[in-house]
Amino acid sequence: MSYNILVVDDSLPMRSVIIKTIKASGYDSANFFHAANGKEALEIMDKHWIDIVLTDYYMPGMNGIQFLNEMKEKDLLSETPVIIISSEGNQQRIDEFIKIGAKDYVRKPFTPEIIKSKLTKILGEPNYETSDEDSDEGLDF
Amino acid sequence: MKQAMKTAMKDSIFEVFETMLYMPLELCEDSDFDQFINENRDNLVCCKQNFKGKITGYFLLFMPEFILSLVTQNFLGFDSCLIEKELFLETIKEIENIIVGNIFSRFEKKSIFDLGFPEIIKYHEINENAKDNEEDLVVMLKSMKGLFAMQITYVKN
Repeated sequence: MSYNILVVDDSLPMRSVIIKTIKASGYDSANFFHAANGKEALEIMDKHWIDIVLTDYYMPGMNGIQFLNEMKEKDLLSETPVIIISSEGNQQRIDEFIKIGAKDYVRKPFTPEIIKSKLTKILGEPNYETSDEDSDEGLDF
Repeated sequence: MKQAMKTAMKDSIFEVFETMLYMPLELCEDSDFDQFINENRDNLVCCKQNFKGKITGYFLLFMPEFILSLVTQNFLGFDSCLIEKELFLETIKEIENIIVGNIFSRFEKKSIFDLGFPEIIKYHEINENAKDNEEDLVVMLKSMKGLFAMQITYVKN
């Protein structure tokens, strides 16, 4: 079984870079889903089982905190771990992410090693089965 | 405060370029900013990001197109000739956003700064709403392809 990973960021290049970095960190067999904002992400979560969400904080429409709150309201946060990926480095704000229910935080810029250590902590070691569907459509330029 | 901000800007730009873009940089303290702007006026991409907090203002990232092309190529891992122009502009916005977040993490860890969304602007729009009490600071850097610069303009609250 491969993991279903959802990447949420308003920047298309950043979504592509995050997915490439996750693949480079050993989770290359995962099924990737991506969304440009919290609303799109919630729609994807309505249709697909997601094992983990990696989301940006600064997004137009619904920021990372609002997205976490929406997930909490829909009772999705108890079953789907969320990692915030942001350039935000203020400890008070990072504490706020964790308090609302984010499992962890990754500060941009990041390396594959950092991403791997955070994912492994939550999901366990990557498995090496091949993916049965390729869901990162729209990210090939 | 100016020196602390300059150090934060320099260190953040170096970290982002080395970690995510695999581009070594050199600091160019002796370069002339006005001359850089004049020489690159026709192919300069300028990205602005506002911020609010203990100090309020905006950052400007000035990058000639030929450097942005390499930055985008390294960021996305694709040959730049396969990349559409819109993605170059999206990339400079994201790079500026990462650098700016990083600057405030280094400059003032205990204070919260709210960041705006980066936007591409025309050079002549920069000084349209300039205020008398604004302060400027410019950091110039040299990549293997040439010079680029980052500027902060701010007022103390």
